[in-house]
Amino acid sequence: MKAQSRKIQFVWTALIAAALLMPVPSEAQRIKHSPPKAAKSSGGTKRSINGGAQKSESRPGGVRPASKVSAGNKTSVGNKTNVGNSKKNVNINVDNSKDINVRNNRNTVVRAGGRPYGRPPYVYGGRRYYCHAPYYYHPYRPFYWGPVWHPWGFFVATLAATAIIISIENQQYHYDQGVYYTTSSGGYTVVQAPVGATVTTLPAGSQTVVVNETTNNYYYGGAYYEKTNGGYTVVAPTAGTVVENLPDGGEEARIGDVTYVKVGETYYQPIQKDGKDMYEVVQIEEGGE
Amino acid sequence: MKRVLCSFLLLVVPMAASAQGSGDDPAALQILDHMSAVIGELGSCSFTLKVSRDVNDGEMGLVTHFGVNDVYMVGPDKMLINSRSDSGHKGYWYDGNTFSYYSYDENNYATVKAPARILQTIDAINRDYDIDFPAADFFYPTFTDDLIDNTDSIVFLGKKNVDGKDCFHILAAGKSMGIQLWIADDSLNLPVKLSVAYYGQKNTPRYEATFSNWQINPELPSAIFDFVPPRTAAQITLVPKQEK
Repeated sequence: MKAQSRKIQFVWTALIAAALLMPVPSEAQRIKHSPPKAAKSSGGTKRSINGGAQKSESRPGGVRPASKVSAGNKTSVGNKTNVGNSKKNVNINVDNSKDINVRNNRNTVVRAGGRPYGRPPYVYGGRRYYCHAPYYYHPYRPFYWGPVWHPWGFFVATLAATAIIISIENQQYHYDQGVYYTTSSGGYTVVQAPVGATVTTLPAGSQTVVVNETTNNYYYGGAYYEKTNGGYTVVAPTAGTVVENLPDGGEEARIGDVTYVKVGETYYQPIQKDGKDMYEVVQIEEGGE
Repeated sequence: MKRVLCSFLLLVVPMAASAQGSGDDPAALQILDHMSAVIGELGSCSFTLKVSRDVNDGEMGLVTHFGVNDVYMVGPDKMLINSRSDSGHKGYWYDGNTFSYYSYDENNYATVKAPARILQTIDAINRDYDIDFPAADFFYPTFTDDLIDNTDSIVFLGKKNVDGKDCFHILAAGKSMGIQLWIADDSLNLPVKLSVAYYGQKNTPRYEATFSNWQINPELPSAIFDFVPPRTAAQITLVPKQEK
C-alpha cells in the first residue's frame, strides 16, 4: 500500500516537473518568450514594468543546456503562422454565394471579377485582399438616395400604393422604387435587395458601374442589377467594381494597415479615381503569409 | 513533502548536469543578465526607437521601411507609443484595462479590452491584431533564457562604438536568424541597438532598432495613458487576424 502510494506520488512529481521544465511559448515580436518560470527573480517589484528579470536555475554557470529542446530549431520563428494554407485559392466570398438563404445578407457576397490584378494583394492574417486601385483612405459617410430610399432596418407602418410583391425562394418581399421590405410586426422593415429579384425598370437614380470590358451593372441603394430578359435582376457585387457611394449600415474595419468599409459581407477599399473619393469591391482569397 | 521535493530534484539536477557543455560565452550572458536585471527593476521608463524593416516585395526584392517610436511605460500596466512610419502616424494607449489605437492620418480609432499587465497586453495585441511593438523583446523577464532557447550560440564580439556610444557587441546565431545586440558599456547596460537577419527568408531581410533618449524611472503623469478620442474621430473596428 505504502509502496503504491509512493509510486503514485513519484509519477505526479515527474509530471509536474516535466510541465515546469517545458516552456509554453508566448507570442512576441522577434523571439518566442516563455512564460515566467518558477525561478528566482532578481529584483523587481509588483510595480515594475515586467515584475523583475528571471533567470533559469538550469544554467547556473551560464552554460547552454545541450539536451534541452530548442525552440530555435523552429524555422518559423518570427514568421506569422500561415492560416488556411491551402494550395487551392478559394475566394471565400464566392463560396458563400452558394448559400441561397437570402435572409442572411447574401446579396453582399462578392463574385470574382475576372479581370487580372496588376497589383499584388494586401496580405494579412492568412488572407489576400485584391484591389485594382491603391488604397486611399477617406472617411465612410453613408449615402442616402433621396426621400423615397431607406436604409436596411428602417421601419414603415404602411407602403405606397406603387409597392409590388416579389417572391424569391419562397420568401415574399415588398418592393417600391428600389427598396425591399419584409413584413414585420405592425408594418414593414427594409431589408437588403435579395439576389435573384427581378424588376421591370431600374430605380430612378441608378448609376451604371463597369464590372469588366463586357459587363456593366446598375447600382442603386447598395444593390447591383444586371440586365436580363425579364428586366433587371439583383446580383451579388462583383470584385473590382467601383462605386461612389455606400449605404448606411456599413462598418469601418481596420485589417492590419488598411481600413476597409464592410457592408454586409462585402469589403470595400477606399480609393481615389479621377480625383474623386470612391470605393472598390475587394476580392478576398485564403492563403498568404 | 520532503519526499516530493527530493523526487523533483532527482529529475531536475541530472538534466542540468548533462547540460554542461560548449555553447555560449559567459561574458555575453553576464552582460545580458545584467541588462535584464536593470530593466527588471525599472518602475517606469521612456525612450525613442528608430526602426528599419526589410519586406520582400514580390519582383522588386527587398524594400526597406522606416519608423520612429516614442515609448513610455509605467509598471505594471501603463503604456503609450507614438509611432511615425511609412504606414502613417499612429498612437497606442494602454491603461491597464483597455488598449486603444488612433490613426492621426485617418482620424479614426478603435478600443479593445486588454489584459492586466503590459507584457500580456503586448502578447495579446500582437497575436490578435498583428500590431508590432518594436524591440519589446528586451522587456521580457526571461529575455536571456529565451535568447538561448531561440538560437544555437551566443558570443561576445568585443567592444564597439555605435553612434558615439561605447557598447558590448553580442551575436546570438541560429539556423533561421541571427540576432546582433549592442548593449551600452556603462553602469546600466541598457540596449542601444538590435539587428535581426532572417536567414530562412528570401533575400535575408533585416530588422533593426536603435534606442535613444533613455529616461530611467521618470515621473510620468497617468493622464497621458488615458485615450480620449478627438471629437470628430470615427470609431472603427479592429479586425482580428483569425476572424472568419
